[in-house]
Amino acid sequence: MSHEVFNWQINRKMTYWYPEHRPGRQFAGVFDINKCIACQTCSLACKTTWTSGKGQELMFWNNVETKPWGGYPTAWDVNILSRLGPQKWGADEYEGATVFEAAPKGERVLQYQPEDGDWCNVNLGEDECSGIIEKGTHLKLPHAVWFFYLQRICNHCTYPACLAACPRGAIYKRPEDGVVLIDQKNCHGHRECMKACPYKRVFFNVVTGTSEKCIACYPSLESGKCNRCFETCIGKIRLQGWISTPEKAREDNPVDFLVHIRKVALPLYPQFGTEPNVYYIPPKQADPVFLRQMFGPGVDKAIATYKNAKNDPELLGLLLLQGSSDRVIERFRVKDGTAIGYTAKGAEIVRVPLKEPLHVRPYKDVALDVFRHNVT
Amino acid sequence: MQRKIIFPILTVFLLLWYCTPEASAQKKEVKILPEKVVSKFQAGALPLTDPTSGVWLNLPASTVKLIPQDVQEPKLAAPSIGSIKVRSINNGSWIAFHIEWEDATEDFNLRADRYSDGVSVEFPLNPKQPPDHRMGSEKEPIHLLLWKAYQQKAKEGTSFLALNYPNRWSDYSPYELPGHSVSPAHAAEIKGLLPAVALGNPIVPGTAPVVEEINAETWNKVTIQEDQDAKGKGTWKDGRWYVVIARPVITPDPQDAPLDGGSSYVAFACWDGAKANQGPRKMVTEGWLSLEIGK
Repeated sequence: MSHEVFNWQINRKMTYWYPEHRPGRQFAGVFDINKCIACQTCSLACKTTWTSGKGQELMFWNNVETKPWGGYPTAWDVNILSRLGPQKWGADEYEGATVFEAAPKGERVLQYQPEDGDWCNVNLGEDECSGIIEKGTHLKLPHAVWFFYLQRICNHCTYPACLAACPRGAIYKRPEDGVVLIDQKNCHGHRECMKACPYKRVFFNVVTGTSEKCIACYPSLESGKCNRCFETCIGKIRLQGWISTPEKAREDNPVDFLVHIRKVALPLYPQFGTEPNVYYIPPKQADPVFLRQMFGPGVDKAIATYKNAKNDPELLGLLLLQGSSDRVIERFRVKDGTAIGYTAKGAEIVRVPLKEPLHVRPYKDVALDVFRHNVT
Repeated sequence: MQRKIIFPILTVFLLLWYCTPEASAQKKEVKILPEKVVSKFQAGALPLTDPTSGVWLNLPASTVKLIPQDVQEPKLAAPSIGSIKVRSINNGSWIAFHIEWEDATEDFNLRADRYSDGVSVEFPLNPKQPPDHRMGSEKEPIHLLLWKAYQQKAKEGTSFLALNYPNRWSDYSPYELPGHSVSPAHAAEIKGLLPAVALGNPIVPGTAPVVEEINAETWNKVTIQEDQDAKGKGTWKDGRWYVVIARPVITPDPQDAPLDGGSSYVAFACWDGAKANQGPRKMVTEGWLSLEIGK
């Protein structure tokens, strides 16, 4: 069945298999691509927590891939983008077709089936840059060649393609937090979800015969704690929280602030139409044409705003709060050179200074009669 | 004059509505075909686990035409198995269907990109008012006996992990140290690593019966029965599948379609794994065939 729903990321109505039904609140994450070093701590934290069972050997519910060439499963983005074909963004809205609107007759979603081998190369293309580095090349801005890391989990979309595609109704979106789950008791292993998810975030378990996916660490989520991949990120690139629709955006909600107020964090391939709820601060040094395809037309402004963070205490403060606690920061404010994170009820979680205090010691330690190697 | 204008407009409007997806989802199509399947009575034991037995092949066969499932998305885009040969016998206690079809490849593997061959036999729970033959209708369920090649292979001991990844290496669980038995507490923890197993999903390979008994009441209201009584076996030989699916004629289970009246309806569905047939992507009969059970 086809229903008309509103997708704010493409700023227009679109068709979806089910009617619009937003959860009470929506789990969301913001990943700052500029800070990621691809240490894969997130991937391993997820792996050891959730996918160490038999039949899950090829599963990485969280992975970090190198763009432009990397991808897990192999070439997932090239495959779905080439099937969708060239599409157009208008001045105010997306004018092209979403994966729901481009579905062939008899299908619910435009889809493709990855081959099994595509799941076997989780870090293919790691650290491969966009082009050949010529002899004599030296560093200049913008970079002549580039690469960046893309951190990927399930996007817990507002309009999940997996949920739309399941012929058995075994996938559901939790009303309390918007987390998208596959009911492991009722999944019949048809793999329509795996074929339909344009981000290819659904995996097949050959031991259980069912499809499995990221569960947004919902036991942690329910107790106000960050997900494993957020908590363990040593680069502090991840911010976890709740996102509102644009008209209900709050200035003191960290995710709302980055996505709706400063518009510095953008959804990945919003043109797919699923309204994904993981947002990315785009990389500063990559090809803008490539980035516009990935993150939509707002990418140039987002990068300009990000580059100006040093003159924007609120934005700078929030970026420094990112990854500073294992608890979900639901409110924040910046005051007197300090950024403070709170729970939704106003209890303080963490505070960080916008500028670390600097203490300079004399070179000579008189008491020990030695010279210091480090004076700061 | 006004009525003359309103009536055609209303008719056109209703016709247009009838063609919308909303309307098609509510449509209930009940089609009874002129063909019938006769289950011959034969006293004594039936060769329920030998699909190539002469007992079957010497019986008269009905050729049943199949068409792609084209009602519910995802539909089957390209036809696969055009027809099946159906034979049936009963001994008063058990009724068995022998289904034979041409299939160049034996597809039983389970992997992200591999799909299994299969066949199902379906009956209406209420033969006096049969529902839509494909997956039943709202509050009018069908009783479905499903045989899938991968479930049979799993039951026979095939590990799809070992089959697909013979050179795999993975850490062993600290609870499964070689040479040590696993304590019940640790066995529960190991089970917890497989959520579908821990929750008792009845389709888990190796735990599911070779023929699954299912009730369907529209496409997304599918329940696997608590009591699994059906039997069967499939054999692939020289480009053909020979499958036997059998069930008791009389059962106390209210979820089983009643066959004790001597007649009912029967429908079939078939999946070709090589063509990625799975779930609703299947070949189906055009409607119900009459079923006569000889006594």
